[in-house]
Amino acid sequence: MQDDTELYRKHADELTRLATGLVGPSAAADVVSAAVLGCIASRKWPSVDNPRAYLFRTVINESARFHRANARRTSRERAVARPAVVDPPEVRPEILAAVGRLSFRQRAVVVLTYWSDLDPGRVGDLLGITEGSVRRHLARARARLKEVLDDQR
Amino acid sequence: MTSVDDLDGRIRATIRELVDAAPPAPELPWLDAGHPSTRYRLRRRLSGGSVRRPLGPPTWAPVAGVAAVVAVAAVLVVTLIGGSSSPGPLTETMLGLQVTGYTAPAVQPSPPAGYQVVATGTAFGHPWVVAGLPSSSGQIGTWLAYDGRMLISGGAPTTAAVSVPPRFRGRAHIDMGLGVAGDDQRFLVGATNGPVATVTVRSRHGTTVTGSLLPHRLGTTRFFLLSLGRQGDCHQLCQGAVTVTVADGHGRVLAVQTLSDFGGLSTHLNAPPVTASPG
Repeated sequence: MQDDTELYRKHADELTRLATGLVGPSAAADVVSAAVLGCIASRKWPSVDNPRAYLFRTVINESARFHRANARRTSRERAVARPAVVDPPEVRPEILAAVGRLSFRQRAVVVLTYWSDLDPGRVGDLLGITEGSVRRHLARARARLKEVLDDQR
Repeated sequence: MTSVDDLDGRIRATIRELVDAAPPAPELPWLDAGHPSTRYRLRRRLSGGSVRRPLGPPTWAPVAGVAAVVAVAAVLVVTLIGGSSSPGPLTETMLGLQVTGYTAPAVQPSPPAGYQVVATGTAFGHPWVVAGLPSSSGQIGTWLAYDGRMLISGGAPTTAAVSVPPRFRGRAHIDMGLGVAGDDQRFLVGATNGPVATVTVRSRHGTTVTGSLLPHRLGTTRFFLLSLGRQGDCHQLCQGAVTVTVADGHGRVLAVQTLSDFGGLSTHLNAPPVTASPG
């Protein structure tokens, strides 16, 4: 338990920043919390060789799960709720608009490439896709971001 | 035109700005708890409380049964402790932040048609009135007046007046809104027909305030009012977006929602509605 606590403290900020890149600041804490909980509750956890990589992979998976669930929940709640739920204002709306145009996989590829500085092979390992797929997602994401960022000029 | 290097730089700056908006890493006190044999129970308890991952049909049914029993028991206990369910004056010690000092109440505006006064009191020396829609109206809504002015008003239907997806049928509602008064005091007011016991408001910097529900009810609908402090010296609780977490009497989280400045929303809870008003 003490090891888990120390491990979490060591990587908590980095995990939270990764989650923020993937799902935004308002859901990042929940995603990290759920991911860490999923890790330590896993039977594999005691035998994991690289806990840091495992935590990062779990945050990415949890972010993908959140992305799917949130998309469904949002569309349903919009049908019955007043349109007053907004993202927190600590990020400029232009930034949210830019990344909001990307699919989750495109967003993950962009964050891991431009923030984590990982090469396509390593990004593919983390996302469970081939290097070629990473390059395709990155090209499409760049094209979409170019449109949005050019419009904002 | 945008050059490749320029585009890469702008994308990198965009992602950097997004990541730099990361909140503080969450505190996970349960990491220190127990040994591996307790992990499964821990996971069930915590994951069951996540509104962003609603429980699926295989696990929801037994939890709903337990929640219903717990809800009825909680409502009975709260009613016995809280006494009368008729409207009556409350002090600010029953609000989120505790303050002292009273002045003579001013004349308050009347709530709109259909709304009934739930509770009245004073906060920061100014009178307030909370009114709401009775559960028999088929709607859930709240209205708050403070210092002689209407501050927050809103509501939403709870019946089949709107198309509700199957997953949300049979689930309780909550309606809440934020407002800032003329003296810069900020309030959160809301109503729910679910088994809510506590309402916790967290600022983006981690400051939290927790309050319980008002002891009064209109049918099966209960209400809450929290003071979030005066703008300027409240550790972000009184300005910007806040995250509202509602939980039942056992600490099970029923909903987590983010409200923007002056925001309001109506949403479902991870629990069935309270079906009978005790007493």
